[in-house]
Amino acid sequence: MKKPIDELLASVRRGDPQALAQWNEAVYDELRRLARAINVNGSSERDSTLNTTALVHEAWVRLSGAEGLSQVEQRREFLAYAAAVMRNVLVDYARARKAEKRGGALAALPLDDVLCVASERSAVDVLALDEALQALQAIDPRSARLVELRFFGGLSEAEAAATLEISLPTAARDWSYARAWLRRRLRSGDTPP
Amino acid sequence: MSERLERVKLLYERALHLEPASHAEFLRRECGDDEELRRELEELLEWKASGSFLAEPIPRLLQRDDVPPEDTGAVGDRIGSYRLIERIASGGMGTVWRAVRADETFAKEVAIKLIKRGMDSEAIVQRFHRERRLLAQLDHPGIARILDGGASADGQPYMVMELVHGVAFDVGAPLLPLAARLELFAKVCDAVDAAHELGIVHRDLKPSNLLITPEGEPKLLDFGIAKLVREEGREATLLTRTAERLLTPRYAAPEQLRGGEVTTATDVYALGVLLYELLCGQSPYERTTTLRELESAICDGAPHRPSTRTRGTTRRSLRGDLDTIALRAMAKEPERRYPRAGALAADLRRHLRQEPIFARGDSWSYRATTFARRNRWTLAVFAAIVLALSVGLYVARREALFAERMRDLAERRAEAVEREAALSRLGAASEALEAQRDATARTFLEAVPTAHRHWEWQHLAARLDRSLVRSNDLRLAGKEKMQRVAWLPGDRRLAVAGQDGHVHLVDSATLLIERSLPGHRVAGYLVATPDGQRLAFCCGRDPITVLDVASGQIEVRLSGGEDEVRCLDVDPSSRYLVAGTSEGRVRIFDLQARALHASIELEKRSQIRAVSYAPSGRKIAVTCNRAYVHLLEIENMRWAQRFQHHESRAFCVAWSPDERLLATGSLDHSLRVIDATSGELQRESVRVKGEVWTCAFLPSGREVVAGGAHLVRANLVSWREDVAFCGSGPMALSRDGERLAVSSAEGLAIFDAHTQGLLRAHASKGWVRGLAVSPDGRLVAAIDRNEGGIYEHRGPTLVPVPRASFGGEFACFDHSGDRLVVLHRDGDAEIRTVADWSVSRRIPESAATFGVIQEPWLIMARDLDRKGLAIVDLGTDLPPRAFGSHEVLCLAVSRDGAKLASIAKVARRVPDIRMALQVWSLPEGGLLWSQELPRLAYAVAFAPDGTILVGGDGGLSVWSFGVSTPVREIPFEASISSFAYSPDGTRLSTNDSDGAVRLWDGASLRHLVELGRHETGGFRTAWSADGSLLVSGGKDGVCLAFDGPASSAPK
Repeated sequence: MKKPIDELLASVRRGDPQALAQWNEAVYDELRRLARAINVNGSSERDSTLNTTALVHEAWVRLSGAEGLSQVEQRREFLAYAAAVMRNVLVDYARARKAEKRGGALAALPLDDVLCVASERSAVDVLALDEALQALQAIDPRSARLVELRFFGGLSEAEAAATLEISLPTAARDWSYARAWLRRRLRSGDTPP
Repeated sequence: MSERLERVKLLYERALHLEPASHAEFLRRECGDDEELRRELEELLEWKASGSFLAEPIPRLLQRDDVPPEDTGAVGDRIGSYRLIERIASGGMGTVWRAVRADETFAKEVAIKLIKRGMDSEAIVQRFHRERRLLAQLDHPGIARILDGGASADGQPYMVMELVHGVAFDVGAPLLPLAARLELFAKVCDAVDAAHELGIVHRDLKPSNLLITPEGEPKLLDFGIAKLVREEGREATLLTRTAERLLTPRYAAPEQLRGGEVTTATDVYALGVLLYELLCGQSPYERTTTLRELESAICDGAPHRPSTRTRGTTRRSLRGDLDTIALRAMAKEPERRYPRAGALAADLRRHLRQEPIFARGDSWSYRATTFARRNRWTLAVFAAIVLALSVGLYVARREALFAERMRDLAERRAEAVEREAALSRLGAASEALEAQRDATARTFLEAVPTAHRHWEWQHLAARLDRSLVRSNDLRLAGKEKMQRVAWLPGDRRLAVAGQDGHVHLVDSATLLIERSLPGHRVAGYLVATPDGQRLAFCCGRDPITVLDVASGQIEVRLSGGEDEVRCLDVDPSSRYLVAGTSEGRVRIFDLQARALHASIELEKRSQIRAVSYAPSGRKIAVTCNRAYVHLLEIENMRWAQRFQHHESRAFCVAWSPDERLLATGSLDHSLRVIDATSGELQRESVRVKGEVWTCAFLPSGREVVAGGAHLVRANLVSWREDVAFCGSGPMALSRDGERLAVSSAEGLAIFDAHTQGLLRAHASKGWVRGLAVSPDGRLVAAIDRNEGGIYEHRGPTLVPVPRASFGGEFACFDHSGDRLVVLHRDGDAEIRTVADWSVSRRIPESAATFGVIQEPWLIMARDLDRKGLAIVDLGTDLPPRAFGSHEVLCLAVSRDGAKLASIAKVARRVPDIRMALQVWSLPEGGLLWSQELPRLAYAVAFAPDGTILVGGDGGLSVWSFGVSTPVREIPFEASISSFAYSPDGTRLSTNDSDGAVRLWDGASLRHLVELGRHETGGFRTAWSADGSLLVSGGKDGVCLAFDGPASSAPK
């Protein structure tokens, strides 16, 4: 995991769109690989001591704590990308589930369970949130980015502030503004602000 | 960012701090005439985020383990009137359980499908009630019956179905001859047709919904479920791009993908795909790579005729009717397909009876014309009667055989699945352990069923079992991270400063406090005198307190002057106490006289970090906040020497038991060993993940343990961190060197310092080229070109055998273990007697580099100008017989001893080396087969099943004798230098270019665990004939030894 991640990061930083796609892949692969390790379909699991969330956590820790990323700055950058990826993964998943509910002869892969947990626990409609975030992005990109970092990426307020290179008070102000803004947007449907 | 937006945010923030009642006033004041601004702020305040909205980030949600996996049920759960017994499978729709009726004494087993929550539970239940009568009518031997359904007490929908034992259709069916396959498939169509008769469409026909029972009959699962679970009416269009990674609609009909109407013809399409795959073993759209491609292929592409995707006789038998039938069933437009499954079955049976099929040309429904072409009726009847008798018998027998085979297969498959799961977990545990994620590793290991806990499991579990005792109750005093613990003589008790600052005497076996010595404040060093009578500790600028252990009373307080005392140690006689201070002074106190004995200054303000008495008591090693280690001679109280090796301040220093070496640990995250006399660096450094605060030699003097941010044991011979304990903090080693006490913010823990890991090592100066284990696993020969010798495997170490030292290129023991063959690249081959290591026979100028013994023969690979192979009869003195002419890298003998495999360089045109796998007859040495290899290879072996395993660049490949393409290839990133099968063939150990010693499953060639690592590449690996010892030699001159599977006893 070490080298490719370093290299990928470097390419992503240079603005290589392909690298970002690969980066996505890496995260997916990691999740899927771990999911597969525990969930061999059709096996009789009498003692299901493992749970999927522990694994996703593991994948997360593994990716975010990847060796060679010890430098604080690099790690922060990594987390920022990871936040974007997490958002994409969840949004994709939510869409796919919506599609599945509507029909089609589809066979779901084990990754399913993993993301199901995340989206169901968040009690937020990920698709709606994603749309609202895109709208916020249009008027206040910094706040939108902050939400991505904090909510999807799990960065602390201080980490997020450092990533966006803004002061803590600014970050706090943006955060409370963005939450109210998004909440208004989500509750009031599609009314433009 | 616009100023206006900033202003909105600022005002919003300010308003948040106000009482809601004063908002209106605030807005009026701040917004003035700006209506838009006022309205925006009003709205924001109205929607001001509640506490929980977005409060918990996704990653943390994922980490939360408090929510039980709700959907999947648990053994013993009651669902309706059933009790769950065993989970059978889980899939997209939910989890399937084996269950029994809870209220009846006789246990008829059923399958219960717990439908995943979030799938619109209420609607599912409603639809079920609406359709249950219809589903109840679905009574066909080929369809698993739906017995009941509803919602559990907490609202989870479930279906109760007939429990079916069987093998998946796509696993079982290909084993049958074509005609039987078609008949079986026609039966599937019959079952589907029975449902179509009632107007029930399956919608989700796929191999995993289709089983073959042990009786050899097909059985369809989940009939009608898809419709219950999914909403009625038209199927939705798929959002293909986003679903790309999650969903595989291999059997979906175009109308399902397009959102058209689902009819019985939709099932016919899926049956068509199943038939297609059954005929040619390939998916009709196999060449597609993405879901989008697959979908456009399904909707628009024309699949090739099945016959074109096969060869030979199969091709001929598919061409014509069967091609037509399959493609007709898969027609894009539903109306061009067979209208019902029954029509498809009928056409298949017509084909089997060699009657003309209906599906010809562009419309399926005509073409009865050819019927009339059948003639010779009478003759046919007679022939049919005769045939029917014999065929009937044949069919009955074949079906019985088939049923048996299915049963067998079902069992084997269940076993394989369980084994596969166990191996996956083992692999995951190994990885987690490498990454020092012990909790995860433990979870994975615990999930391996007992039946699969073999040697690898023991190995990993042993590595995981890093702590013997741990107590979270004994936390550190204050926040001082340098808090110490001290062993009391006898190694039974520990002195430790508790969170309350009191000194506690703790039983090391139970970690229970035996006695507390209250009323003291400890914030730093705590030492016990070697005689165990006193404890001394310091606390900043306060005088050093000396306690009498027996009475718990303060014996004396020794003032360190104005300086802050930073560290303490006691001399071996227990008489003198040495203290290092923050002002660079070393003070020695006489504990008998209870007074200052001597004092010396190191350098002004060079804060002293550690003081350590040499075992002889004549010297003190001192470190300060520079990177130096100073030696103080006690006799004349002078600074004798000063060494510097660290990049940053040294925190600790320890003497080896023989006083020849000093170990130092530093802020620079490294541990080093220097010669105590010359100051010469003995070992470069062991990098530790974090600062090193304490270190100590094990009594053997061959290993150092170090504590700090990370707790490790390093082996002085291989000089690497060979065990990482699961803990951190300053540690103290018991006097017998058996246990480590570690104090950290989490509490106190005692580790077994000695038995961790199964790794032992010895060094030679060059590459370990020759490596062999005696058949009984007692002796290990590890030699390089010039030196090396024999080691005895005794307890936890490898001990050199005296007077058994010789070099060579290669070594192997004979089968009895009485003789050792040593080959020299540029000279004789020697046969040595194990009893006294004398040379009993010389085979002059053999110039051999590799050998293998197949009693009574020794086969050697020769080098230099005598390339090729030579065979020697060990029972006689006859000269070797030569055969072959290429340079050979390695050899292996087949299990029956009749074949010899070699890897040879068949052409060497710089820069191009071409290699071949060659197989020879034994003992004649006749070339049976030569196969050029695509890549460089360095290792060969016969697998237990008789195939030939080749390893080298690019991984492993498996060859079947005489077949010119590999049967299997297992790509691997590291190049494989050598490998060896365990004697029972269940495991394969490899030595790889990245230095790792890896273990693979012998049968599946699946990577199991990484056992250890060489500094540089690995070179040889070998097992003892009894499987009790596995050794690995590397280019780093190290021989690693592992207890083999045969030696492992469950802990």
